[in-house]
Amino acid sequence: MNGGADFSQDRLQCHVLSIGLLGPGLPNWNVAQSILSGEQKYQWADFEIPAVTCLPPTERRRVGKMVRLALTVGNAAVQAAAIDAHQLATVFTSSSGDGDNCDAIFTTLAHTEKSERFISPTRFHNSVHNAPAGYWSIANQCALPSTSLCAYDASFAVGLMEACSQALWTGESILLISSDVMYPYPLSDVRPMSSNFAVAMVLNAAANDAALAKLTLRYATELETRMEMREFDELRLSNPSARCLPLLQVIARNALHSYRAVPRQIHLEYVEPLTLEVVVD
Amino acid sequence: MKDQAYLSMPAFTATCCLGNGLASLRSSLLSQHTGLVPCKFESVDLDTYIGITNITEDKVFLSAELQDFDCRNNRLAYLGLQQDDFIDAVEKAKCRFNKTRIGVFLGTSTSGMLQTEKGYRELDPQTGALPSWVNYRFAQNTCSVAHFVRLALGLDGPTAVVSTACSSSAKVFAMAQRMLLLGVIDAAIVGGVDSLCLTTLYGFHSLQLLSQNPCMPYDTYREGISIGEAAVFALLTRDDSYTPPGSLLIKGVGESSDAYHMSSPHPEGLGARQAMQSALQQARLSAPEIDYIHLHGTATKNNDAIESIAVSAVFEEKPPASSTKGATGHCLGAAGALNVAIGALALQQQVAWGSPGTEELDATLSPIHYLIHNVARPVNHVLSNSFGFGGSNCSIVLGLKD
Repeated sequence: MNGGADFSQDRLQCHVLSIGLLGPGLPNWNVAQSILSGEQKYQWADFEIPAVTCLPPTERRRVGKMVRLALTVGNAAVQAAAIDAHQLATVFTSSSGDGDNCDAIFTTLAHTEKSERFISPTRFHNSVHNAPAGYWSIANQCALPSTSLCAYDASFAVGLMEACSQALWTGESILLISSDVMYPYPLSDVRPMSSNFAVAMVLNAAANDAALAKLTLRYATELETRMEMREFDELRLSNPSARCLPLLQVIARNALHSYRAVPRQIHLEYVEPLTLEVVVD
Repeated sequence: MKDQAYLSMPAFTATCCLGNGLASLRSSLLSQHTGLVPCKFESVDLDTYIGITNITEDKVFLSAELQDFDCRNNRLAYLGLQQDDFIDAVEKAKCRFNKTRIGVFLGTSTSGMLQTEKGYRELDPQTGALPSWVNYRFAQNTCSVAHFVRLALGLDGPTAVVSTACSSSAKVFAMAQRMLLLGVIDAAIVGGVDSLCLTTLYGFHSLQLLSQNPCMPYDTYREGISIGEAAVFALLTRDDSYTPPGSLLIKGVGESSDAYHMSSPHPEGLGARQAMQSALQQARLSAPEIDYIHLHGTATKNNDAIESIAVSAVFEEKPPASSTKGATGHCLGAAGALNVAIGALALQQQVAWGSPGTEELDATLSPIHYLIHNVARPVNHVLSNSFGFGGSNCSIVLGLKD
């Protein structure tokens, strides 16, 4: 046996120390908290993805929307947790990667004249799925492990499970960043998304005073939780990273109404026939 | 729980340009044969060599339920799954474990991108729309291969793709290790599948990293990489009383980030060092206990030079080390798992592999004990390196059960 570990246990627990968020009508976690808990009305509003100031100027010019979006929510979560990003391992997850970059490369390669098939070197190295992770590590001089995952519409749930398992494995805080950006035409036809959305969480196996919630994760077969309000459920389905919203809503309600005594259970979209059960308390 | 992090690897298989399955891989390595050929792939006009597999063009290659997933990458995955009785080994695991508790974690960088590349040539002249045969979800999406393999193997467990460029299919071993030892799953299918496409060939060309000749890792006259393709799978379980003596073990996995540059490694190899040291630490081994290092060894000027600096810094006594990419090509997202498979063969054959294609070791590199030819010797522990764009590093220690 491995050090006396109990392998019959199939539940993983971790604490959410902070959340960073950016989506249509959800400009940050504080506003999102009051909207999701019902204290403030929701109104869809498109938004500009901010530039990232944390990168050196040469790198800053090279990054597209995907990297900017991921780094923006990552920075927000790290600041809220008052943790040094330099000492934080990371899990990035995304259903899709940088569609603009992909479209530009495919357009160049489709030239009938082979001699015109010249891809820019920057475009090529930005085409890797772990581009946000690479830029994040450079921006924060963080040499700790980082992984980059994809599980189509289950990408958020897969990332959450992976981040939780790493938090338990290392005993250290970990940063989860889930981001997806709308594809340009014609890719948008085959992968429609109607919003840009990203969420980040700092997780730790142990709680601190500012912890927002304790999560207990396990694989289940119940149906995924839908949002009661139609506009929230439309938002949930508008972008794979927005599949986190049922979880964020429970966290928001618990935090604002402080009825932490009652655990709430939700099921996040995972890979069929499984869903990811999350008990929040 | 982290005191001992060993995993058992009861089955594995690899398909690359050296042939389908382990028998051809083993015999090619023993004869130091290279599988690299001049590039005649698709419409590519680049003056380079590639490692191409013999994927069939047969229209009914995949069974009806898998047809939606039809693309080069998933065909390669399917071909790979048929080798070395791998499916039988998975069926046995399904008898022993609940199939919702068997994970599928695969690495890829290309996925089925080739299909979309071709689709862009046939955009509707009026609307600019992609042709109807482009299937984003089941071909192009990065996770397509993991969904495909899960379906092909009849599994219902956790599924994900790790896509960290050329370290992707090494890092899946770390993901499976955590999930297994935390008790979330009881077995995992890990590995990597990466296939030839225009983006990687023209992309590495744009970085001026493609070799015009078959690649020559660590050679004075090395000039870049030869791109290959591969499908590699391994079955992993916890190392427990079921593991027979002599079984292959994954003893340690080490991960790190360079935090330096998107496409160039840290000049002192700091990230690579950290990955190797973490893997050794987790394996509870000291550097002198490694008998062979299967290097990342892509054969670019810079990568080999920096890997030699990192290896030289970690290993005071120099164990034999080599790259086999002169035989297989650099299989990108499948490279990490292929390196593990070839490392496992070193343990089984008790051979430290040489370096097909390499003629003259570059004397300007940091001192390591680089093998050009195979050497029969006791091999109890192998360290396998994989480093990727974005500064993503992963090293794995393999051994045998006492």
